[in-house]
Amino acid sequence: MTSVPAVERPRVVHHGLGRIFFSKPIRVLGLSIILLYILMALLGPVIFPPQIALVANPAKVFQGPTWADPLGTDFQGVSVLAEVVLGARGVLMVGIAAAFFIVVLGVLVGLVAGFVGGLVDTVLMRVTDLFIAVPQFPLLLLVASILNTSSPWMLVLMLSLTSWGALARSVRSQVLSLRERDFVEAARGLGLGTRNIAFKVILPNMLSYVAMNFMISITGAIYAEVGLLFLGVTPFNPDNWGVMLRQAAGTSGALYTTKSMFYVLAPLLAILLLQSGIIFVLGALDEVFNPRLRKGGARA
Amino acid sequence: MLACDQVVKRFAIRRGWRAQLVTAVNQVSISVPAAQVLCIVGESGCGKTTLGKMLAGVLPPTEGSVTVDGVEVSARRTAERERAALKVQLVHQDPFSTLNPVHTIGEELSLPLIHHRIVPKSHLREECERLLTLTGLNPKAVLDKYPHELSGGQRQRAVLALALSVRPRYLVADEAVSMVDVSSRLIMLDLFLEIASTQDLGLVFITHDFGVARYVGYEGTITVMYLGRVVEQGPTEQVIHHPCHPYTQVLLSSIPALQAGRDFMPQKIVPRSFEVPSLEHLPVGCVFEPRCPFATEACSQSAPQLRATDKASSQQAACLLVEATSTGVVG
Amino acid sequence: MMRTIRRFGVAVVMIWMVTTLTFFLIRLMPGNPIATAYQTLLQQGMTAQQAAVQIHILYDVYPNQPVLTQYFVYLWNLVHGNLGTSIVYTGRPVLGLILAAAPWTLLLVSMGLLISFVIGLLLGVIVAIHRDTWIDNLTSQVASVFHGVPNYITGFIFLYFFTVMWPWFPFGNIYNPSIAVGLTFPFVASVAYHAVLPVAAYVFGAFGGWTLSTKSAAMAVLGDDFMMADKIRGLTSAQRLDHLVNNSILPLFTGFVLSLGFMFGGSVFIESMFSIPGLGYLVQSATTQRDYPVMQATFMLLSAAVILANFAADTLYSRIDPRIRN
Repeated sequence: MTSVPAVERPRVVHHGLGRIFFSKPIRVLGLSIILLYILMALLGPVIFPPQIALVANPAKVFQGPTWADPLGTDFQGVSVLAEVVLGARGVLMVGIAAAFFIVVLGVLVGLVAGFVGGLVDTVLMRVTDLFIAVPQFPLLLLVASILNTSSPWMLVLMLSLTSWGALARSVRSQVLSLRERDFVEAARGLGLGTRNIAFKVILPNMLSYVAMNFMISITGAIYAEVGLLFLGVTPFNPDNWGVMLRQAAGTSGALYTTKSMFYVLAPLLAILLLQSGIIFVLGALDEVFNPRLRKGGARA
Repeated sequence: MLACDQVVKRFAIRRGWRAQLVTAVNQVSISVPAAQVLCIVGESGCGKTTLGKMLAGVLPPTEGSVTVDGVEVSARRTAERERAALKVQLVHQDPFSTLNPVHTIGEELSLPLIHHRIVPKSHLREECERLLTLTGLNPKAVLDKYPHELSGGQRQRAVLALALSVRPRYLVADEAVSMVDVSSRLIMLDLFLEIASTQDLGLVFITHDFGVARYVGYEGTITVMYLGRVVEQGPTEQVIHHPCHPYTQVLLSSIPALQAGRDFMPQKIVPRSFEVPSLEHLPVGCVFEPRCPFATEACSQSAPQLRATDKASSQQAACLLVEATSTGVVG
Repeated sequence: MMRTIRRFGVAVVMIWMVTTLTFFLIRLMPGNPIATAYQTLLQQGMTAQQAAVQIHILYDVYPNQPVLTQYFVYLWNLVHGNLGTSIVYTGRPVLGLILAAAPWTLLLVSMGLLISFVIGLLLGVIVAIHRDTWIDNLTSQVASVFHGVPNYITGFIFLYFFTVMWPWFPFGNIYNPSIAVGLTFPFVASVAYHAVLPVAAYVFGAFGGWTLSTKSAAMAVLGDDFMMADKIRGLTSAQRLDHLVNNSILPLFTGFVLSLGFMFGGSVFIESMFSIPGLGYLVQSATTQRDYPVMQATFMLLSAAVILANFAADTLYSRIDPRIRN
């Protein structure tokens, strides 16, 4: 029998990560897609220097795929592939940052409301209900036109402030059911203290849920971000798939020619592919944070 | 001394429009001296689990007080009371749900050790191993396991180790062997007794089984509860051999005999009714009156107080009829 | 009954809160058109009072009133059914604009919702019955990917393929303007023809979610003891299917009513993309043109739709499910 140091070992997370991700081909696919996007975001400007790649070329407007421009060209003769790759950084950064704040805000509000209870719970949940009741897109439209800013951080702020409600509500209801469990009572009996019980006893039980929500929030935030730019409510912000869409639908004239197919579809497919990648790894994520799923036939 | 004085616990139950108060534990006073054993016996719903939780400080009493070595722990928490409350640890009925499913046993044990700074961080591992060895587990085999990877007996031992991690003076074990395989129950009971005696722990053992109570509390005392009240208490052997309260007699005479003709009670005592009254509609007089085979008119009028059955012994019973014949209703 | 009344009270309070919130949010907007118009009139040499009167005639507000007074005037008008007048469509009452736009949104949203619900229900039950087979794996993955895809993506794809690549469907508007409006066959046919793509966009954006929630609801029911009991009792598979559908639809009902409210929010994209003169389009154009009486009213209406749908779902659910009713 080999001895493994128990308590010095870092948290549950690093438990056969490779095995979990490589156990199913669909997870490998999902992981590769996500890695591809991260590479695009990190290395985009290196592969396609914007000063060179984004220069208009009236000679090759709306061309089909060629070796030089694998996804064809847009209404200015710019390579669509370059536009998509260069758009990744802004889109991903805003999406990930917004998802991060959504999760932090949602978990914090839900945890506090569910754990403290009483008046705090009532007040927090009324506010949450209000945020849930207001339809997100119209609210985003409203706030976006008030702030009238092209700063990505304001965009992050807007996106996270308008979409934490649902997570807070479900975290709260999970906390309510978890705190009735015997191990929470045992923790109270052991005098572990409120903060420990909230963050070290209850929170780890929701980690897989929170992690999956983080991933889904990324896609949600990206949709909202691209949608806002598509509607043109926030000021012009180049290098974004939403702006590509807006131009495709509007001024570029792409909707009057069948030659523009790659240009029109590229940003849409870029988003759909990212969404698929994220969906494909969700099952693996659940297993990483939920030790009970690891043994035996866990399903994707 | 772990003691509670006239503790009452009421729960609010929603019944459509209004909330109804249900008294789960009604004016119970018990005490366990250090390193002694007390068994609480009763059927499900008698309030024994609720009482156990109040003793262990995880459930505040509605009325009355709980004291640990002279410190009242049921009042508003102070640092001193926190420390006193920590001296009493509860061992839950279901070991599986008592262990956090996302922690390994090692992580689970480390939490209280770190929080209360019981050992320096460098000795964390040694202390975990010590606790597990104490409860008869092989530390190397279980330290890195998740609860779902352990057997029922291993889980029960791990829960015991967890309770011992804060170095308590009293253990409250709630049906601690009911989830263990029947064949290993005796081993678990021995483990409890062994740990209680080597660690000098006071033990409150909650069970529905007189056999278990007698085995564990042979030299201690026994408390019989029915519908939230103590109906009889006294030294274990005294209560088992000379039950005074009709309810205790019914319980004892319903124990099936292993050998024909070797029934525990020489005389079968059968209740008038097998229907236990609901906690929401308790009888006005003695709670056992509707089922008591000896009930008189007076029994339905007023609730009897717990009083000594005999000047010579420390046995007490809450029955109007016991006064008439000091040796119990059926003697 | 008392609970229903209380819930309704909460709903009304929430609508009031949203109204208040929007009122003050909108006052923070830069480029307030009324202030701009007022300044222009002053520069043209009018006195302050003349300009104020002129503004009042044009926009039905007094520019110099304190915000709080404006708020109370707004609330007072609101409970009397007066939503103010549009700034962009000078002098047109907002209520009229909304009433003209609402039917189109209602039509498209409810069609989209119904069709996606039926498709999702069917797929979900099929998947639940064939769980862990390739049918399940394939359908569930596809549904997961489509679940959460915003309708502007599906809409845009349909728009491009079916009006540009293969111009099988008309682009823009909701009926052919050369046909007289009325309950005539050509008019209804024209509306139906124009509605195909927008409705399809709604359906593709929503069926995935319905499939997944039907699947999980149906699987929960399949695991229930009484389904097993049905099997033992020897009920035919058709009877068991009936049982399954009856028991798993119930929890989905809440979601159905709830999403009615949310889909109005999604109408912003579809309607601006297909140029359909509905509520979503109204919200979008009012926002970009800073027509804030219209913004305020449409925004309030969309929120009220969600809040009321929520209320209806709660009430309905407690009516249907006997476990909650008592």
